[in-house]
Amino acid sequence: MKRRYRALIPFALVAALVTTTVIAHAVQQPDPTDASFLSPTSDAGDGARRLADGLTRLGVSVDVRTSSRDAVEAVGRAPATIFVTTPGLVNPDTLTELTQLPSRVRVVLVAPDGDQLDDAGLTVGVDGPRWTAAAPAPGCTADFAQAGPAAAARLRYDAAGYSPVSCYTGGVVEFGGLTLVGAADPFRNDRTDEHGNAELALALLARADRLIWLDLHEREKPEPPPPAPTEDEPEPQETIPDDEPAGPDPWDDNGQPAPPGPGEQPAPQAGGEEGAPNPLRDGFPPALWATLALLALAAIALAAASARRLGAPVAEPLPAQVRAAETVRGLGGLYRRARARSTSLGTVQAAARTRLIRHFGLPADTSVDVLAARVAAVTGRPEDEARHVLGGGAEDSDEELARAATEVQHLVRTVTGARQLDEGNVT
Amino acid sequence: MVTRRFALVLAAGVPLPALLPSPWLLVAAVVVLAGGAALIDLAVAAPLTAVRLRRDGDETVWLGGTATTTLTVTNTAGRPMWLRLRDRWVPSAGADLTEHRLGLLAGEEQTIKTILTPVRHGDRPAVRVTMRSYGPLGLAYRQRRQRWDEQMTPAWTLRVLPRFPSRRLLPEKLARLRVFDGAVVTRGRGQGTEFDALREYVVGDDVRSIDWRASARTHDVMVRTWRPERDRRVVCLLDTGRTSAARIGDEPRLDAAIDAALLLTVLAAKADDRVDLLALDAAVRARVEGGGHRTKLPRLIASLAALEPALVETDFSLAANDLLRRGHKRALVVIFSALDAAPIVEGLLPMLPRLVTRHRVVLASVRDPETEQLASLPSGATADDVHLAAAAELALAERGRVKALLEQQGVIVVDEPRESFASKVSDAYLTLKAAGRL
Repeated sequence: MKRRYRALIPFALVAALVTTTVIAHAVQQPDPTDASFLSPTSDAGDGARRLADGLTRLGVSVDVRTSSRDAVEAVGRAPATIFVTTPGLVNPDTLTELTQLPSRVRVVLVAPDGDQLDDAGLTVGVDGPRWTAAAPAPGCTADFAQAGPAAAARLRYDAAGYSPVSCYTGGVVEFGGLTLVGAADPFRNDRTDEHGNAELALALLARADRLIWLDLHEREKPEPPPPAPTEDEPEPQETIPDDEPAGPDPWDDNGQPAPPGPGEQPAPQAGGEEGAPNPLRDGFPPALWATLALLALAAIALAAASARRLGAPVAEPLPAQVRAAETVRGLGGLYRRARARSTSLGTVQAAARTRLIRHFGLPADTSVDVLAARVAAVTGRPEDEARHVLGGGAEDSDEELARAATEVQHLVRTVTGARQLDEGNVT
Repeated sequence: MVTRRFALVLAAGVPLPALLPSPWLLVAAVVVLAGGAALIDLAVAAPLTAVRLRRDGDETVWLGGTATTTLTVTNTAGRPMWLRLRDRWVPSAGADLTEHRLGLLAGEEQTIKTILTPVRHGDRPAVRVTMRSYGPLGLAYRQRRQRWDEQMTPAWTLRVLPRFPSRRLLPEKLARLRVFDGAVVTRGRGQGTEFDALREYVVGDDVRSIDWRASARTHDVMVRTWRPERDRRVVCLLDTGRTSAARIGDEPRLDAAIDAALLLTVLAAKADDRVDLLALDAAVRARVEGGGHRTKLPRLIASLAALEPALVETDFSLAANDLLRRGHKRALVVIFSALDAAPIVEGLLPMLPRLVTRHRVVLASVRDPETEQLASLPSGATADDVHLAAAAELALAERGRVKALLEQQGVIVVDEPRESFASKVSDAYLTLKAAGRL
């Protein structure tokens, strides 16, 4: 069994390495919903403060807008560039509108993916994304291509239907007034110094004197539809607050007049919820959800496989065992708690007297005085002292008690000549 | 049921949805493929009903020894079987290796050896054999319910005989027995009171044993020979109540009692006496009586093996009723108990007068050395030691009083430390036998 585990170790190491790399890469990817992402005021790695400063130095006036509607309305009669940093968050209707602006307005979209281009009504093939942005040579003669190689090709676009100017092997594509850039890298603070990133970004954005910078970090809600012409009575939906995420209601599209009354209220709400995009679900690619689902299934299978035992453990009653001198220790503890010094000493002395009486062969009711006289005769100690040791009174402190008791036992040992107390035998 | 390998197969499919288009379709494909393979595996796995189990091996072992049992597994299915099985014994049986993997071809049988090193005496049963039959891919397996496994398991019980360290004393005690049996010539005749035979006088015989009537009849000087009484009764009464659970050194008091009872039993059996056994606490736990000498000893040892201490007060009236009720012959009743005041004074003492008139009673108790150690103050004693010593002295004094009380009633008390306990109990028996006082 151990050999099998040993064989698994290299595979496990490789799997751990791959997993760590994938997770680290996912963490490293900039998140468009971060406030710092390509923000003209952010110094963070994924911000674009340096780009904004560079544009100002070139004499471009930077006009920062935070909603796509504002950005579209800010377009005046003069030539301008609209810089859309997060096309994925822009309301699809406005995105369509952006692509159809007059040709004096140039719209630069940063790394739109296939779905977003479809939403904008463009049929552009998208290839990628690559693991990281590639930095190919420009390979074209457009004016911005003077920058030399730049890290613009994470996504590659194929807009053959629009006769585009395609540079950087499809990383930067221009057709009509639209510029698609395949990666956010040329605009980021931390990548500005690499390759010709800074030159490319400036060349793309400084073509007009005015730059409208759409600094958007929240998904825009679709605009409420223009109120449908009512027939007789006002529609109850009108009372729904504006923040209700209701999209174009299928009921209204059908032109079916909703039956009046309060009972009708929940139906449009339910319909509205269904139509609303789930931000969490749309926030991640379906591949991630599928992977997570498979991982969860594998975890459930592992749990199920581990849960079944090869037979339940066997229980067995333990044998009853008691420490031999348990009651003695308990009683000793009680004496200690009660500080029964006189009782303890009296007991030790009585036991000593019994031993001495047995040793001398005296009758059991021999008095302390008689015993003390015999002890004094044997040991040569004064009789008073022997009497005090064998029958003395209460002690005041623990040290005194210990000393007195030790003396009692010492006396018994001296008299009987025995090291150990003797007790009991076969009779 | 799926195995971990199945989970691994699913996990191996995890990168696919991320790398290839249409992720949900791939997830479904991975699940369907893995599930299909597991189902096929499950169908191909050999059925557990085709397994036949047979057990063999040692049935008894002395505690401290090792026993070997074998489990023979036969595959009666018509296809190969990948089997993983666990042979569970109770934990105190000390089974060495319980889990096994077997690959059995159709009709093949294999034998698994289990070495048992029991840690407690008594009956140690094999509880169950749990089996799991895997498919060839190892993705799924078959396993039945626990009850089914228990029904399939061949019953086997290992009887662990108690430790018998006083076995080494047996030759010495038997030699003493032979001396007063007259089998060994020492001082002319065997001790005892039972008439054995008449024989011619040889120089050295005790003149007091000359039978003058027989000498007159045969014109030769004849002497009588005696031998010890035979067919006396010995009853070992073991107290398995709460006092027997107390640990003396490393083992409960009951184990010392069992050891001594074993020595006494073997000795008495060799001396052609009848030994009965009664073990009780609140109820009678074991009773062995009747039967021939040859068959009795194994029964006695087996009964002693199964005894365990119980935390209840011993009811000696059960034993007294038993010993007094039937027309019991006079017997030597050896009570293995403890010299504790409460159980003896309240339980045994009221029965004693009647018991002592009918039988000779010996009370055997293992002395606990710890109490005496506590009674003797160590050097550099503190007040706590003095309190403990006082408590120990009280316990010793109480033990002395109980002992005196018992001796007053005519009970022989054997109060000995563990090392000499079994020997002294046997000595008491031998002394009584030599004196013809059984």
